[in-house]
Amino acid sequence: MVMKRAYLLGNHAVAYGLVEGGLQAAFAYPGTPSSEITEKLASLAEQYRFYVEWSINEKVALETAYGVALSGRRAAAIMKHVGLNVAADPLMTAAYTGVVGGLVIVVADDPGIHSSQNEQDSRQYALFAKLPCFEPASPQEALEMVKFSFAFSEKISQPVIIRLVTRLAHGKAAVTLGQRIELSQSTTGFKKEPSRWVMVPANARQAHRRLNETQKVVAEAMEELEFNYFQPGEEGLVIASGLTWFYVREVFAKQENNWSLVKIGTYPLPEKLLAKALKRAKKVLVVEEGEPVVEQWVERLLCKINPGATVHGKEDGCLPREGEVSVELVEKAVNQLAGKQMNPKPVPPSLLPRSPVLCPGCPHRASLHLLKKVFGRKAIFPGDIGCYTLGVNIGAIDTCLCMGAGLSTGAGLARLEPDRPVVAIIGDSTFFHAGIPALINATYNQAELVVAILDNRTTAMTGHQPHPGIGYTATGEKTTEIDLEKLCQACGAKQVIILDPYQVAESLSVLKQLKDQPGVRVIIFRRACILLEKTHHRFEITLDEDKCQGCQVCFYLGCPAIEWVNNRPVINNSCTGCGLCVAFCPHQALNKYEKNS
Amino acid sequence: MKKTVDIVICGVGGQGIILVSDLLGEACVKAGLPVTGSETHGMAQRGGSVEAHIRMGGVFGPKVPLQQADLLLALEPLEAARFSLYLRAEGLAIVNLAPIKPITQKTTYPQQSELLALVKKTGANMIADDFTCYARKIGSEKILNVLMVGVASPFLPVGFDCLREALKTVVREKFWKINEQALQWGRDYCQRIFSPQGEQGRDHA
Ligand SMILES: Cc1ncc(C[n+]2csc(CCOP(=O)(O)OP(=O)(O)O)c2C)c(N)n1
Ligand code: SF4
Repeated sequence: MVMKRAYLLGNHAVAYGLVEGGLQAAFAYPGTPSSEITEKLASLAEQYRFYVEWSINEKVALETAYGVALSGRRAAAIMKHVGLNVAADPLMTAAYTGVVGGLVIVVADDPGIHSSQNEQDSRQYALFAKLPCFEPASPQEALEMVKFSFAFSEKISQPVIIRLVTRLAHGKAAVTLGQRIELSQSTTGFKKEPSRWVMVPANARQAHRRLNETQKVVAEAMEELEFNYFQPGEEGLVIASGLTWFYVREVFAKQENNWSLVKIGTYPLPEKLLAKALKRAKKVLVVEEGEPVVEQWVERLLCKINPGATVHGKEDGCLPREGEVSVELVEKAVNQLAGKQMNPKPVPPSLLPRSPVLCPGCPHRASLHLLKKVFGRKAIFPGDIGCYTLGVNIGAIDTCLCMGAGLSTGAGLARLEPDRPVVAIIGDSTFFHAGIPALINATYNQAELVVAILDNRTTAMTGHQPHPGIGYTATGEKTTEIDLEKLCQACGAKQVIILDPYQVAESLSVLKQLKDQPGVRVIIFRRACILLEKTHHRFEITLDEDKCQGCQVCFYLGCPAIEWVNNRPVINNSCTGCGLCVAFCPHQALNKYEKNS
Repeated sequence: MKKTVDIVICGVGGQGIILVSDLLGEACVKAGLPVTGSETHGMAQRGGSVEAHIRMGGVFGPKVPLQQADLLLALEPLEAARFSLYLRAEGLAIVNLAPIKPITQKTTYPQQSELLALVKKTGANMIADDFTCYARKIGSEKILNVLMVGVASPFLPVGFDCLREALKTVVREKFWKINEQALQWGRDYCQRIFSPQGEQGRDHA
């Protein structure tokens, strides 16, 4: 790799860090804000000769990466924060067994909930599993940390967690790239060592002791790392972790006072370094993204070292408990502690919101309206996670908890609400990720449930990654395409039908028949995401002014291509010609014409 | 010119805002300036409000603090108003006046004058025009983003050749020509406005 400087996304810097660190195999399931790491890796895999895959879910990704690490090679598992919940089972015990080759687990948190269902803090998983965790402050540091963590993981024989946050993952900076570490080819491969790799109780007890003993070694090692440092100043002290470090630096660049600052980049925290800073402090402000992890740690340390000092941060309300930290919030906290007045910040003007919506021509819109029309107002639509969650705006998604939950929640709802039709809605990628066990459970336990799999031939929400139903891999090679229809049949579904949601009349009649039948019925709505279609605009849509009654049925389809002007629909130029509005207009006022005919 | 130029770019998912951020960032790299930034990925890209921050010469975090942006590059007027609170009082707003209506049932799109009044309230200067219309004339609405960078180019801490070079890094070769045209058109437009005989400080509010 030539020395090169480029304006890089934080996630791309992480990818280069993995490559430079000698990555041999990477495993990931997509999820904002982590997906670009794996996409970048896929584009570099051939050049640097490593392996990268989109795995079916995070648990499988981590376990497969763990397998690589047991063979003495360097592996990475990459996911978003909630992905670590799915992978928590292997995580907890991989900490017991440890690894041989470096294993780096990259987890991207989403404080502020830009594109997630919660804002959990992965550092707590690191503490829970008793694994070391690094948290970078900038894309450049992310590259360095990730690169370093392979060797560190091998040194301590433990997996290492890298915690990112959205502003780092989707932050950008000019980054200097380095060289890929040349690894000696001398690994002996997997060595049988049941006492270490087979976690039966007798071995697990030993392993737990080993894990606890490693804690001291790891804590010692953190004191040496440049990812943490202390910048002595006046008696006020600010401790900042991850990228909040730069928020703090920015605030003090404008202040006359010159407080002492500590930058935190590792967990466990460097207690000796902190002790130096805490000893002479009177007021300590702790700044971090997520839960008050550092804050509570510092409180514990202060009890021993300097009980007279006061700690400020998320626990005393100096900084908010929820959401993202910002320069503005740090400035306010610092001024508050310094007893200074601040000009109030402007309040955002209350303006017409612009929320995300399904694309014009999105096949999900058609599927969801078909289901609503056939199953009616009484029906419950437990939903799942993906683009189709946006169906909440058109009243076709009633729940969204976590990936795969729609099917199981639906089975639960149907069990004790037998008079209401329950139609679980799940995307194709989500179905592979976590829907299969839920479907089997429903058929095995004879639930009354309709399952709609919205098969748009991709993982759209996170940027159109392939999945096992598509027939090609992360790096674009052809592979086995899992047949959804046969899979659902094998899961025990009595009826499995495939519909094209654009064929409105036909779909309606099939759905009506299916409605009153018993048992688990699966409908696969198959139609590719409109963004994958190279040429759309199959039809030109026009309005017959005389027939239009102004009923707004077309408008309420919620399509961005239909505007409502002077009590009439106006089709704007974002129309893809899918024809859904034509089929749904009760007065035949909308017509479609084959384009160029 | 102060050392860091803080820019907020805003518009609607799908307008090519990330490309603008890449273009400005690469131009900094070419000019040897430090740079940081941040952008919106994920859910909001499906037609939601989208913002990107870029700090040309910046050495701190990725986000521009409120009331600190030197430049607001708004590809849509409603979004210009929404993100105007980032502008500092002596800053500059470059606003595209072509509206994109959010599909929220019933509520009507605000008056243009209302939206521009919000931008002006910050005390910043403003260049506002229907740049979408010009982009269409050059050949495609898709180049609106680069055209508006051209309009902003005299206010950036990098030379115009850095921008032109950066364009080649961030745009596929097939589209170089039309994008270069757009960039140049934008620059000429701005120079026309600010030339002594030009319509100095013209704004269309
Ligand atoms: C455990 C977990 N992993 C990843 C994600 C991120 N994520 C949200 S939706 C989604 C996939 C959506 O794909 P699909 O089900 O095919 O629906 P589409 O977006 O294509 O409509 C992913 C990966 C998540 N929310 N939770
Ligand atoms: S990206 Fe595809 S699946 Fe997602 S809303 Fe757009 S058309 Fe629908």
